[in-house]
Amino acid sequence: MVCKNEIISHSEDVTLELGYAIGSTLKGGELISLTGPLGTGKSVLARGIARGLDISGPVRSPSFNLMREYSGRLILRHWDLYRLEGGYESLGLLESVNDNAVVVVEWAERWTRLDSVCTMRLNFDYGEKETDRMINWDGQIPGL
Amino acid sequence: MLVLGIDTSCDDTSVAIYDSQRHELLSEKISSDVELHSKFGGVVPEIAARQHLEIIIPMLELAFDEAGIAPDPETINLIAATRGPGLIGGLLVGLGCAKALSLGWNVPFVGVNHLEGHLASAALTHPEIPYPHIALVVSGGHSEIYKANSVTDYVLLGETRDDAAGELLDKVGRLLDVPFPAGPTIDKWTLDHVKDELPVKFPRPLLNKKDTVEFSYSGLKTACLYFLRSEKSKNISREIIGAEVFRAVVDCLLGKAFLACENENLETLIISGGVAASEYLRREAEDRSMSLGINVMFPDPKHCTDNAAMIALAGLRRFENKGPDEFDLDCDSSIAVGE
Repeated sequence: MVCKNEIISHSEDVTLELGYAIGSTLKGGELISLTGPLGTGKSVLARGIARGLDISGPVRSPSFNLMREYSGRLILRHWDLYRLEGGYESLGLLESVNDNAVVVVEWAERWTRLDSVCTMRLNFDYGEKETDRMINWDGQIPGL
Repeated sequence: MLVLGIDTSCDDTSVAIYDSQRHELLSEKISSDVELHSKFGGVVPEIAARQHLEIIIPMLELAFDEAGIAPDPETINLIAATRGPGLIGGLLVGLGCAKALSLGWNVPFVGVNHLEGHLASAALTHPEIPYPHIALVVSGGHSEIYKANSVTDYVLLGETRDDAAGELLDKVGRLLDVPFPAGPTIDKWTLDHVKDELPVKFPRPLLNKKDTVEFSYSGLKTACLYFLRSEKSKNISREIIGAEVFRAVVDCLLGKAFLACENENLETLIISGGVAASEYLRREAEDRSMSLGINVMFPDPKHCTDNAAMIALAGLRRFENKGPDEFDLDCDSSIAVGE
């Protein structure tokens, strides 16, 4: 059953914890899309997912290199379509999903086809206060 | 020894021929598809890779023409090409071309780390760089501080926790409607207001934390974004906002680079990478370093942005220390320095 969930994150730590909760439950083969404007916490959530996969160390923005890969409990492939204006099919993004890997895609809205093949979608937006972020997602996260 | 250098790691196809005996560049050619990217505001990897493929051979011919030498194994002694980090499609073209020439000419080849190229780039202009020194590499994809013990031994001291400085400038550039790449425009704005007290102040993340030489720029991006969404920004020009963002970026870069010099007790600082082409960064680095007794050196501005001359020099250093590479060497889009 798909359910629509939403939280208002009041700080970076809350976003990080949400990512951690998601990361802890992943089994491999997931494709997670992160959508929403600049500075709403997509990279922070991706870092939380990495922590939930037992990946320590810095998780830096992949905007420039398009993809960064990390090894933990599973492999994390962290993509970012921010810099791109097309040519998505040839990236090898869909091919980078497999049973041992989790794929997280920032700026996923750039490639409309991606939506239909995602296993989980999270959308980010600004909140009322400067530190607030609205985060909503489909699917269930155990413990939340 | 004549070294042929090739760089296809990002948007430009670059070729250079370097004469190590005379310490001289016989030719340097850089295709600039900046116009194409300005139109889109971004990169289309497939188009970029295809463009590298289409123009690499004509670029090589131009480079040999300019050097006034024949493209054959009698003239070239070593072929060096970037193997990473960068965009995989472009890297495959450059490294594949280097391997093919190496095989056809029976001339050794080496795969070069693009960052080690930037770390070598100042030596193209200043052959007598003292070691050890502190090296700051700052570009669209990197903001890193190294201790350089020798031409092939670099120790990473600190890097960005999230966004690179050049990436931040491009993202802020989009918010301020600056055409891609945003760096040169924001640099000019900052210079135009260099003496002014600015009516807006952004945070300098981590600057006052003396126990780290890391950077964190994603919070600065958010601060700028929220300022633009606020009422306060309505009476302030985007030039002023851009200038303050760049001041904050440079304060962090120089603060941490000088702190690394102090921590390691070193008096030489080399700043390279695309952002090092900034006139404002250069001026500030020189002004602030004097009172600290630090000698700051930069590559020539044309060797700050991606180029093949630095790849030729870094490739030569690698060859002299580790010998040639085998043909099974692969591209690695996220390789670290020293790997």
